[in-house]
Amino acid sequence: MQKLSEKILTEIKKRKLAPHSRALFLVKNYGIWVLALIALLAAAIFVGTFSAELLQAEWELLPHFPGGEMNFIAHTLPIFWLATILAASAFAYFLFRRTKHGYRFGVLAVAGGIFVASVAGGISLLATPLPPQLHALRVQNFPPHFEESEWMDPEEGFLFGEVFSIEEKLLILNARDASVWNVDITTAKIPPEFVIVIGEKIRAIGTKTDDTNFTADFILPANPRQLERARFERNMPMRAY
Amino acid sequence: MPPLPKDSNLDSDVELVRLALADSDDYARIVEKYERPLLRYVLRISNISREEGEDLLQNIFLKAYQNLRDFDSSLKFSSWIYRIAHNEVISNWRKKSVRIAEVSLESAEAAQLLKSTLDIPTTTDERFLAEFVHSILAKIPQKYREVLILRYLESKDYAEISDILHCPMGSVATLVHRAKKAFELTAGEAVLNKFI
Repeated sequence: MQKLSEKILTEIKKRKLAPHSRALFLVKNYGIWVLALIALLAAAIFVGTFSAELLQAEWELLPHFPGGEMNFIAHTLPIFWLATILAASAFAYFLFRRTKHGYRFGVLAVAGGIFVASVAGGISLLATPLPPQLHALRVQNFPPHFEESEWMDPEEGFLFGEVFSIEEKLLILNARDASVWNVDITTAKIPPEFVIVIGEKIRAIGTKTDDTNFTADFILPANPRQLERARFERNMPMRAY
Repeated sequence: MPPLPKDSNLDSDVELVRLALADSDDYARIVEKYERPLLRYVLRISNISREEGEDLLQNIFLKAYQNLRDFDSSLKFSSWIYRIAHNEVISNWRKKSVRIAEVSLESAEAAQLLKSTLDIPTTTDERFLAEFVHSILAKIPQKYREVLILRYLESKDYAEISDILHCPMGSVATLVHRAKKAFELTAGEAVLNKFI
């Protein structure tokens, strides 16, 4: 009976088999590492953009937001970037576990390492223009959902409408429901980068004093993202009313 | 293939790999060194005939030969080639789409496994014991079965099992612990069912 070693040597010669080249394995092993690092870098960039978007959110409005704090969080949380962070991190995890010795590390060690690296990287990237640019690109291509009707509730202190005229400390507003309001802005906080012009749609938060008068605490552009984009473009720091 | 000089270091696996890469005839040394343990391992973890096991073994050695340059000398060669065997067995199962229902064990091996996992004296009839262990191993999940075989029959340490199964060492320890528990529980239930 033929020995196994002889059978195998015969088979190797018959099929003209040869060990694959070292270069093939190097390309494969380093390729996985390169892809894993690219995925990690992507996760860091997305963390940076996520953080930038959170930092630029209208946190001052949290106590005043229509629909309450949960509605504010639902409107503010950058779900899109969160999804991209999770996808890039999952891909980085998948690839890292497939590196030559990646299996030796536990799930928590790998996932924790990816989390720490992407957060550290993301925070470092906040100093660069990349996160704002990505954010602007996203807003441009996928405008966030904004519900005008949520802001038209004078009884609850919210007004939404188009500026009809501007007097020194008074705005005449054509509201969304076709009513006309005199909005007192004497004590209102207005973002410095926001210039109110006639014809512009705005949001006001304040108190209804009677059927046609409203005292504003905050005056904001119609769409919250409008302000964010202005800040990103001008590289402005956190809001200062 | 010339006989190995006694004073050489040729029984070192790394050296054997180096020689096999230089001349395919020298690959026979690796095959001869590992054919018995690998065939035993393949038969232990899969429900295939000896003939089928030998065919599978041939594929394992051919695959190992083609991937010889991927062998990382920081690992044990045995772990590397056991990993290839493990993968081939799994791929063979998938091709056949069958679940392993039995395990090939010698009576003495069954006794050894039972003693290692349950810490009981094994003075019972070896044939009865082998049948009993077979039935228990057939009932526990495959991941537990393989880790018990690697640990107690192949005498692999945790680091080697980690390299063969591609899971962290901590998970190997947990897996061995759970496998022993599963074996113990299943064995206990089997004994109860037999006598009640």
